Amino acid sequence: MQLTDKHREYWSKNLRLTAVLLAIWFVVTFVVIWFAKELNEIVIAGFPFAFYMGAQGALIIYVIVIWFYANKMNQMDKDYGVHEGED
Amino acid sequence: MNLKLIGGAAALALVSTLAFAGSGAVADEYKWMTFAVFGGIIALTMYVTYWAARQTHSTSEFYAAGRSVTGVQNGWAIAGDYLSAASFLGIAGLISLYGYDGFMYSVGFLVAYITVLLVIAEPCRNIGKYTLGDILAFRNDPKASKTVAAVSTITVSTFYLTAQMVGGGVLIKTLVGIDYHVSVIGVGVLMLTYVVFGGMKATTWVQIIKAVLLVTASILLVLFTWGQYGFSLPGFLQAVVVDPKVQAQVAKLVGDAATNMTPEELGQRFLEPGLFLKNPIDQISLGMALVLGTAGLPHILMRFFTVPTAKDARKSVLWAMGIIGGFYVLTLFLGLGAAINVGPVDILALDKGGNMAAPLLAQYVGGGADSMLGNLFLAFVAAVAFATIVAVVAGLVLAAASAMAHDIYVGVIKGDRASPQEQVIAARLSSVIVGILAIAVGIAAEGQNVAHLVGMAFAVAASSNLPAIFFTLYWKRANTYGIVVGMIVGAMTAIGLVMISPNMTYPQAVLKEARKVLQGEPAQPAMQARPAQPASSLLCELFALDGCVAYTPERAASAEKPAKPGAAEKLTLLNEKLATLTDAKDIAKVKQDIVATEKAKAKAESDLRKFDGQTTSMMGLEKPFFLLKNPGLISIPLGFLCVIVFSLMFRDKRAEEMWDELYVRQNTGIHAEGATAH
Repeated sequence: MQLTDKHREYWSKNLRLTAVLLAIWFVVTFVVIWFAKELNEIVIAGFPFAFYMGAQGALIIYVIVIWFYANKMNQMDKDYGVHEGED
Repeated sequence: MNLKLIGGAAALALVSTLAFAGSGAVADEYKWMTFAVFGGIIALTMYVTYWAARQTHSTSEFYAAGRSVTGVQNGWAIAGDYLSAASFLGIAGLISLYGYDGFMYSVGFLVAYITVLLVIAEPCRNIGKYTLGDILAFRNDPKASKTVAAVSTITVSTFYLTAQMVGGGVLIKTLVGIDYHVSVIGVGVLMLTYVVFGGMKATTWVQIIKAVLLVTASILLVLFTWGQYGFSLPGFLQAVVVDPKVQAQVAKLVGDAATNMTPEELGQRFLEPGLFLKNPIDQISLGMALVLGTAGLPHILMRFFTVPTAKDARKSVLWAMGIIGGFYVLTLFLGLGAAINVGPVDILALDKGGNMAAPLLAQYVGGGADSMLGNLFLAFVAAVAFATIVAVVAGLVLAAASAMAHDIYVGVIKGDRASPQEQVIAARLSSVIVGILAIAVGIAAEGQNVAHLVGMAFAVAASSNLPAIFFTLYWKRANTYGIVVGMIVGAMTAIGLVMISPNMTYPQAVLKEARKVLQGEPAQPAMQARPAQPASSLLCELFALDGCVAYTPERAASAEKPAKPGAAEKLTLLNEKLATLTDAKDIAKVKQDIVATEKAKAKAESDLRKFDGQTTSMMGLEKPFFLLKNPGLISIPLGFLCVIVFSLMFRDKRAEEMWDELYVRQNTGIHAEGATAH
């Protein structure tokens, strides 16, 4: 099987998407934890910001990141004609 | 014949559990309920196994459920695979005892899934067949890469499996009072039945059933717990802050610093970090292993071979994330609910690790220890915990068995020339061998501290499997030399560092501790507060080298402490005190103290006998040389580095030639193993 330009374009788009989403993941996870003390100055409804991030915020953002990736990739598969199956 | 065998195994497991029930969290008169729920779950999974066994004939059906698992089903199965008893009972327990730091654990577990999907899941589904070895053999020398991949898979699975077997045995004993050996054998027989007869299809469905049960149980518990506060989050959190049991727990954790805090401040402190996680470098090391190791866990990787298309692979991670994430949000309520309703003291009384928080909460919301409903709830949670252990163990055994049969026997020994029948027989036989080994190791490791084995499994997966997969998929220059050396060095470093780490038993420390219990401690003068002292250099944070000043954690000011009596003296004092007491509550408390002191005394005496005359650990060390509990910080970068260096040192034409093909295949899934006709 030969690589076509289309394949290369698809691949570089895939990599770019992955890199951006990993960057968001990194910020949400590590940057927030690192600056937890500073971010705790922000208080919502009586409880500090890092508490909400730890308890729910990070989890929700992860699910959104995955959802975005899955949708975007499914769309790209169709655009580049490399999807499998009937749909 | 299959049906008879499956039914026989189920009956054996149930009868043996009934016959050996002793004392546990469930009161004797309510035990029948627990066994009824256990029996129901076992019957359901056995029916599924029977159904799956009739459809499992070929290798693809055995290892990959004929690639007929849908994305949603696989998502539930991944959740079932990942939510082990440790995350269900353990995290709820940690939250109930340590508040905020407990949540960080749950986030830490989930963080990893992003890397799994984005970097590993899809390409692996596209180029792999059944095992990690298949992925690596795509570009590298098949025999060499399959051998190291199989050894690494078996190593990781064995560590994880041992932790699950021992943890499961202890858990069932604490919950229902079934004898430890019987629990281990019961779990082993059940899991073997699923795997040997039903292969991946039965394992998948057992995991789905277990995940559904787990989520249902948690939602019900949360509804009952949170309902008391009208489903208001601030109301619930406020209840945590003002709860005297929570405040007392925080006061205990922060020590003398508590004297300057108001009760309200103590309660608030429960929702802030720092009560459980102390040495930050060790936490980073464990965090690295958890985050990067998940993507290299063979039994998780294997789940992606069961779906028919790349789209389903994506969908399954999305579902898995949603289920696991949602579940962890629920554990927040479970943990905090247990802290305010049951209280840390009662949770610790049954299990030091806090594992009984969720079961006790179930009993409480149902109406308490003497009520029918309370015990039914407890029975349900106990049965779910049991199903959890069996399902996770089944996945691990299947992964180890496939490495043994598919990589080693078929790939390396037979040079990929084995008939389909031969392959299925090899797969089933390997499952039996791994299963029996798991039972034997579980029994042999009774009473050992196995908590660090999970961390070690993740560390090996992250240092050995992940670099190999990552570079095979994403780096053109990667080749057999780099992969083989990287995997061996990564795994050996991880294991080697643990052998010289504080996880091992050091006789001198044990003896000192035992003497303290038996002979008492001298009085200690009052001490002033001291801030945390960093180690004298980064190397000194990691290794006990000559001339190093080690890291010392922050110390709060403490008042003068009187001398503590030895165990024998303490027992005399307690017995004297008992004679003078009249209040039933006080008497019960002193009696509890006496039992605890006697236990501590017996343990110290047996430790003294066991380690008398020994001065060094298994590795010949007097004290740990490597100072972290988890080796990830060193072994992971080293594994990655070795793959790079050794790939650059040698050239491998096949690895480079196959790059283009891999490139197309991993992105498009063209020529990937399709679904078998059904």
